[in-house]
Amino acid sequence: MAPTRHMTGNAFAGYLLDAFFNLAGVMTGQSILLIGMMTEGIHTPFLSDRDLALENVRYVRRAAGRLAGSFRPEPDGFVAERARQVLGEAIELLRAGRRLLQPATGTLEAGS
Amino acid sequence: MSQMGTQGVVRPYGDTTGDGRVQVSFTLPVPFGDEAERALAEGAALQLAGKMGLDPAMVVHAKGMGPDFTFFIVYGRVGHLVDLSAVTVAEREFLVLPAAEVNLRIRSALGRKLVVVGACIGTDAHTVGIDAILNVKGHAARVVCRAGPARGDSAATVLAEPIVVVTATGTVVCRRPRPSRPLSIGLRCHCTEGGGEHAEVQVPGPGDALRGR
Repeated sequence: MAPTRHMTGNAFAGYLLDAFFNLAGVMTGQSILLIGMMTEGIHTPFLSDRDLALENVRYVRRAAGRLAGSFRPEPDGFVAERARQVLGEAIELLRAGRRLLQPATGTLEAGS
Repeated sequence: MSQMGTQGVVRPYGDTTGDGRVQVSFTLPVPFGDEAERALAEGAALQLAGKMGLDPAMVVHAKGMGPDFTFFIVYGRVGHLVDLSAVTVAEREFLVLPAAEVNLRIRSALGRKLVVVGACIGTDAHTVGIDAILNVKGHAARVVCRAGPARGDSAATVLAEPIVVVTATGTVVCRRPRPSRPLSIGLRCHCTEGGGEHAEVQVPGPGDALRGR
């Protein structure tokens, strides 16, 4: 996942953020990494931005190695607590979406 | 700081006052393979840097990207001066509203909560991404109307047989359409019950104005 909402236009800082997000992806054993672009939010990425992004993710994957195998968040620690909170909010959002949809269905007539 | 202020003439500040040092990065469509190619590539980068006003210039990084391209980072000194008294400040062409003001406008113009189901406008990378996400969720997209720039800046033509599941009212904010790249708006909704048969489309009729700018 790319840190889109944290991108400011400072491409140098953005590159660092991308590396941290790549690290988070590698440490949690994700098989697919959506690679962040340092110029995300500024312009459509240059060829060089894409190449640098690949260099970033290759470096992190190599440097982090098999770190994912040793990464065990504390059962009631900050990471687990945050994960529970985010998952709970996601479920609540889905429920709210379902409540919103229900009154809008089945009442309109067919046709154009 | 005080000696510079907001008036007079300034140069880029690298390490010392007025040293004019800058860094630039760019890509040239030249190969970076064998030694001869590398020498040519770096020479090409230096030529561009010179034409950009960097003198002296130094290629501090060059990296081949595939067989046909090279990426450069160049440091150098520019002789250009910035005359602060001649700076022109461009006025923004559109209003940028803070969230509270946006909410206020929705409240006064719409009179109820604005519900966004899912929509995308334009052709940039984000639209492609949003489109892909909505497609993954299995809701086919349809373009329901297209701009008619020949009839006016805000005219739109409704295409045949539009299908939408719910009615919604709102204002679409988009770029001013150009004849070379007509605006298209695709809206998509999903109906969890009724199988989509109990659905009706409410879009502007032919020639109706799409509000916005």
